[in-house]
Amino acid sequence: MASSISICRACLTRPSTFVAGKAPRFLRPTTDIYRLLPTTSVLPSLILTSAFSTTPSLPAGGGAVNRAKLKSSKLKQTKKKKPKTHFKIWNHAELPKYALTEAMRYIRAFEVGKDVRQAKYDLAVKIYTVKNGPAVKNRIQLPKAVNTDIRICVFASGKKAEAAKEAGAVVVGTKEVWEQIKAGVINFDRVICASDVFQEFQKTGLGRVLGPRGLMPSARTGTVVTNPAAIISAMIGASEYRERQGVVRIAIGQLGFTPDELRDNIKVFMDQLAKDLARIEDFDKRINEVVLGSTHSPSFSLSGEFRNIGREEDIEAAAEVVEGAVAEEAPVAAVA
Amino acid sequence: MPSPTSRMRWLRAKLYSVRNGTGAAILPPNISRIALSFNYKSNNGHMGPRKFFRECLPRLKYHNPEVDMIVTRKDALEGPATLTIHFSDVPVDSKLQFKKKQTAPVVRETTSTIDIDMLNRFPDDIMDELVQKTSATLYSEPPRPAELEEEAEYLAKKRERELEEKFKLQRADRRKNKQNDLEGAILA
Repeated sequence: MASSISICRACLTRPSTFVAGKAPRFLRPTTDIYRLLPTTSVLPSLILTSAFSTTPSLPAGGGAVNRAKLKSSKLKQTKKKKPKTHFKIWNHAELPKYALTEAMRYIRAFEVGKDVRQAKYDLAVKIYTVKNGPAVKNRIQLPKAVNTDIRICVFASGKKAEAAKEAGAVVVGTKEVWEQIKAGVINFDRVICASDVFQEFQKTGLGRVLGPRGLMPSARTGTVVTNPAAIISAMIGASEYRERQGVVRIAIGQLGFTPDELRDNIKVFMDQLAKDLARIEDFDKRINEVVLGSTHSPSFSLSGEFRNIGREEDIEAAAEVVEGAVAEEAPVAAVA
Repeated sequence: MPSPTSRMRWLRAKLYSVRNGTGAAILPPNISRIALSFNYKSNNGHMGPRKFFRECLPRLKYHNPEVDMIVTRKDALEGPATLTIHFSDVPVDSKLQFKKKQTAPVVRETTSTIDIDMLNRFPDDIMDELVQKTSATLYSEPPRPAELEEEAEYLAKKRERELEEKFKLQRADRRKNKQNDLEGAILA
């Protein structure tokens, strides 16, 4: 018997175990762990069975847990995520909104001590739109221009060059200007090219210099024209905007603008944006939220009012409300 | 754009802090302009002025939107740090200004000025002197209505309860994991 069953030496030396007439104690190599385990009737038998099989079966409790896990993972596998076709929008009907003057007062407080011309009011318009549809992109002439110091370069010769210079272009010329650009002197923000000089210009290979800066003139962007002087005036006060990630952002005014000036700018912009959205026919595009921020301040969701209605001091002046903004800003709660 | 809820929570705190705190004072109408002048670097006692500019000036501007606040900073390491208060005769009626559509901003001529030395001082200290010299009235937020107070209390309690429950579950989970690990160790 002793040959088949391993007996601990300590037990053999200790006479008490034999004296009592009991069977010698079996000691497994896993004694320590066994002592720590809760005393369940299932486990010891399982441990014994596992000793004989080459692939140990799992204990009942653990198996149940694992099966549950497997089930859930299987469910996850079968339940594929629907691809999102639209940019996410939120229902913000119950969240606080701010009148224009109130938002401006806060923004002016956050921007205190900053340069009034450098810091800009910034308008973000959230749009309900498909992800892979056409995006809004346009140029607008605001009632009070934001960027007044745009420097324009015109490639033209003869009479056209003179006309362009009168219209307000900073750099005008053909070959001498190109040589300057090759030398690395670029002191302008926009480039317009007259169509009769365009072929000559293409031979110079300046696309490598101007292309990465986004200055390369091309007919598609409307910067290669027969009469450069005509579009200069439109370009000086104009600002461009486009939709990115379902949001249209635009610098809507300098920090020094009065509430009236800013309101006019916002009104004109929102009108044009509504037209742009309506022009895209096959896709449903709607304005979800209009947010006013600035360079260094937090942003404020606009309510469409010019001034808070309900305050005693403002009741007289409250008649003039921004109707345009209110109409556009109709919350798209139903979609959310 | 982040979700409106998270944006609003953050904004609410931000706006509260711009309305309240040191610097929240309403200046009398005969003050037309406040000009600060100090250095970019905080060496030689220019730390206080900078803190005043960052913390107190936005609050002052919020409560006095009509007052011009001009900040000029120098590259020097030494020199004076002063706050200049410009007084003018014509008190502007804010109501009138809203009604009229002004084409050009009105430039109010300064009749007299007062200087405050900001060198080596704390922002609270500078603010105290400013309030004293201009006889401004300190602003304090009107107390919240009782309903809001109750709601806030209820929400705080609810949150506490939720957290307690969460911790309880976490503890139970940890215990279970430990046991599972042990069982796994035996079988391995």
